[in-house]
Amino acid sequence: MPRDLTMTLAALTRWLSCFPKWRHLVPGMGDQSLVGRLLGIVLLGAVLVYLAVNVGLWWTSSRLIEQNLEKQASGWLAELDELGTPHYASGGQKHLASIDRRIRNFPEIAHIRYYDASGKNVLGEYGRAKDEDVPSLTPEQMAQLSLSAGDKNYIVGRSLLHGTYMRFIAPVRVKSIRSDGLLNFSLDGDRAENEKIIGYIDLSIDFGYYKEQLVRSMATGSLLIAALLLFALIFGRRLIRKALAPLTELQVPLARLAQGDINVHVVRAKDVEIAAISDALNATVRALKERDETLRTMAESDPLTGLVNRSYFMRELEKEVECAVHDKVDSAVYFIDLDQFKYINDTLGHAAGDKLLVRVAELLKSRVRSGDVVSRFGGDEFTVLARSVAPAGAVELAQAFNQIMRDMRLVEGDKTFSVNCSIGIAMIGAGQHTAAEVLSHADMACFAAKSHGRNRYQMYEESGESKRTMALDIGWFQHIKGVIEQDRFRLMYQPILNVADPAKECYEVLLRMPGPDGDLVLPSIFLPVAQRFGLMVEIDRWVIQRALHALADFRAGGRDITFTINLSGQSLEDMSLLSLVKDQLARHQLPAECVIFEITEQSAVRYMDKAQRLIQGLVDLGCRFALDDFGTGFSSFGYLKDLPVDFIKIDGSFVRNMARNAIDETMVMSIIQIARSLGKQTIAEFVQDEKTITLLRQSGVDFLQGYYVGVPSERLPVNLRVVAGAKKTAG
Amino acid sequence: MKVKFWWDIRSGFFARMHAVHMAAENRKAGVFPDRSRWLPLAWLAVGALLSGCLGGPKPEPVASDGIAVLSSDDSSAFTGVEREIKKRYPHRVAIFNLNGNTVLSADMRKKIESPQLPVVVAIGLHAARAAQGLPGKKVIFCQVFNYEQENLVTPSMKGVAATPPVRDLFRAWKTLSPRLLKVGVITGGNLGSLIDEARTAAAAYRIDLIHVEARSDRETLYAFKQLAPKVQGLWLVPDNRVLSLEVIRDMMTYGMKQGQQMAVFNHELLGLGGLLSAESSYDDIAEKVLARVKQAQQYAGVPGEPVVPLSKANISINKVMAGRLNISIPPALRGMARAP
Repeated sequence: MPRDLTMTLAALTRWLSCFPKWRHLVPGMGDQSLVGRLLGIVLLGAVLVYLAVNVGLWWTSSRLIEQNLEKQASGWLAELDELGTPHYASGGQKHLASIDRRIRNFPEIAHIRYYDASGKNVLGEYGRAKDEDVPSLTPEQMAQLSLSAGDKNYIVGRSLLHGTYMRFIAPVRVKSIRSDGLLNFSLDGDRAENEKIIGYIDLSIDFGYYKEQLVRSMATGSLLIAALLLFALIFGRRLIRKALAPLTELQVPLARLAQGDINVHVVRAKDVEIAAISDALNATVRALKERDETLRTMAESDPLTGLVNRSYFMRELEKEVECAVHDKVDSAVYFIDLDQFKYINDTLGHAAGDKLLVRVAELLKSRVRSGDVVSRFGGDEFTVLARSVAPAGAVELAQAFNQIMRDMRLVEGDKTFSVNCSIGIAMIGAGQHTAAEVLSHADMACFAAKSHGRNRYQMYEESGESKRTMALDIGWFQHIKGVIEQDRFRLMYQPILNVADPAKECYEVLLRMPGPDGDLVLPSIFLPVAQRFGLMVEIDRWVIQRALHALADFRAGGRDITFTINLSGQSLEDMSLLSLVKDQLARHQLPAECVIFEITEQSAVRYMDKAQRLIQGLVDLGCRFALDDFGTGFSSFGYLKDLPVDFIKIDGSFVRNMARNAIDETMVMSIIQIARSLGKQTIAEFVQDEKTITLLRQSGVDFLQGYYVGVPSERLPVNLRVVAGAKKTAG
Repeated sequence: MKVKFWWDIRSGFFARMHAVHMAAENRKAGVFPDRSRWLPLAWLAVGALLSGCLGGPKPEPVASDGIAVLSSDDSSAFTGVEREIKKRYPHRVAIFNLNGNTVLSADMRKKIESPQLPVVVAIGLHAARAAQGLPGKKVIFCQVFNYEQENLVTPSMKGVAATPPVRDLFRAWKTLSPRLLKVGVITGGNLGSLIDEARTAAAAYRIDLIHVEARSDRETLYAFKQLAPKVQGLWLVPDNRVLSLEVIRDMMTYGMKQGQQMAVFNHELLGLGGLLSAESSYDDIAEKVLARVKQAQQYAGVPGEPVVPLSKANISINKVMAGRLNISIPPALRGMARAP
């Protein structure tokens, strides 16, 4: 196949691909292009016009040919009438050769036949098709011809020869002027003449001959038109492509943009319409960059200190662990916990705590290299990733951290504070541990440093007690992970008695985990490990989903039940929790008022800056909050002003012995009174006997919880043991 | 007898006077009288004298002098003759007209069959045919061209020629075109006497007349086209059987394109390319008819030749065509020249 033809076919194939219905017929075709579609429309229009022109030409030409043929035949008949006179004149036969000579140059004349007056006897036959079987004249034809006169002195019909012949039959007439007519001769006379038919001429003209000529001409013309059309299309394609080039040039930057690459710049086009698009795209890209930067900053940094946050640090740590495998270079992870932060926060207030955190962040940042990473891991915890550092160097850096903390003085009003920190160091070896394990090592080392008297550092040792503890933790960690994946956690519900209205049921949702031996394990065993290994968020999400599902089931039975659900400090930093709660409430069609989240006083204080946003979001949904373990902190009442809590859960250590210890009783009474004065309700936990209940009731407590009220169970109790007593007492 | 004689004398005198008058007319027109025209008249006078002195056909008593004139229709060729007859005949002339019919109506027949109208003058072929069957009538027909084919001539029915004297035509033609040697003529059948007369007349002027017989107008045209290369001129005779208006036009056109000299029977054809035309005159016809009427009234049957020729021809020459054919019209004929 010639190359030009191949290219033409390829171009046509591309154009055809522009038609949606045909696209499936053309394999390998991509998405539609504007140029292609425009060209497709043009091509379709051109093809339709081309076909219409050809059909019109064919029809018109055929009609013209037929009409011209008829006119020509009329002329031929007149001439043949004269040429054929010898047939009807005596002795003139020798002159008939002139007919053959005359028609020799007219191949379209198929046959000529002269009949006598009867229409049956053939006087002469001529033409190339004279030997063919031509039907004789019919009486009807002769009768029709005897009546014909005027301009159309013949009849026309399709010959039966081949179907492409036109047959013309005309009478041969003689005339004579009426008797005596010449004596009154006048050229303008209208006297009728005597007329007589003495024979017939049968002429067949090959219409196919003309058709063949027409087909040839039209084929040539069509090819010419098609060529012009093709040329016009190619030229048009170039023009359209050129015109739309600025638009098509937007394809690449737009595709990159769609794939998330915002480092694109669109060259401004000259055309006003496309320039507007270019400008809009560039503006969009700028806005995306700004938003991306903002989001990135928000996602990776701590808004208070400006340090990177926990998630960013963990990613960097994972990368470093991977690099350590390849590069065989040691790095160190520091887990830094401020020793007096809670004290400062409680005594000097929240703002002072924030100021301290900012100052610590600056100091840590000033002591590390540019490639190292310092993060605010959470609350008063900081982590540092020191790259390419040997254990000795790591120790030196830890000492430096301790030193700058000791040297730091925080002046707040007329008070000056110094801050110490405990530092845990874990070295990143070559492929020994995962990032989570390394961080856990550092955390354990930090815990050890605190245990050894604070304001010091501790290097994690892969031996002895640490190793055993670590092995134990890792075992628990893997077990917890398995329980989460296998959905084997179990929920238990402990009643919380509403003193004023015992019919309003309230239960605290408690988490239990099946241990390796199948027995249920208390949270105090596995939650520290989960917290250390960063699993708390995942566990809290699991608890929320299952608890709300169960609550919906219980409430479907017609019981007015409220659940209290514990939230960890880590979850308070997870803003996605807000959308989870929102979705679950909507899914189970639960009123938000029937959900109370419990947060510990320590978590609230430690994650105060981030916790406030989440708590406020949940409060806005309608959920309520209870401050758990209240009374164990240094300045617990201060937080009641800042936190939007509705309930205060008095720490069990005060309630447990209040019946026997006057101080505890006083503490509980004070907490209850202050809470009431602040408009908050109180929950007393660890209620273990009737006397305690009596005291609490006398103190005005709102809710009672404890084994004496009800033990945790996977099923909701039908009747609470103290309900009747409570009612009676109340009554 | 005496009356008859005097009638003959008077007829001869009138004929003579007419000849003199015609000669004078011809002189006025610049045409010199042909001596040959005097000869028949002289012989007629002599014959009349002899017949009066020596006897001949026995005269019969005339029942009445009235004549019936029956015309085929009211066309000018017939009414013109009719008018001239009426003008010339001194006795009763009963006029009848077939009005295009071919047979007599009963009323008309009854009137014509009246004994007061023993002689019938039939003008035109239809009239002649109709008169042919009238019992006891003597019929003189005129304005009938092909009387031979119709077998119109009987002892009691004779006629007058429909065409002008052929001799006059050839004389004028030869005078106009001295180099004319061969002339063709195409007619239908049964015109032997006319062709014989024409051939004799043509020979008198050293013209070879080639006669072709045709059966139809298309044959006439065909024959003309075959004949044209062989002749210098065509004499177109008014044979309606082989002529149609279309063929006349075609022949005239073809002849003009071929440079043929065309002698035609009607001056209107000069406009189509005819060189000269020869036509009869109504008075000449009427005169010849009345001469025969007189003979018929005097004798049993109708004496004399079947058809008497006319004595004069009205010649017209197309000077435009003559100029186109490079023919200079001689002074003697200039009076006949006209531009159609």
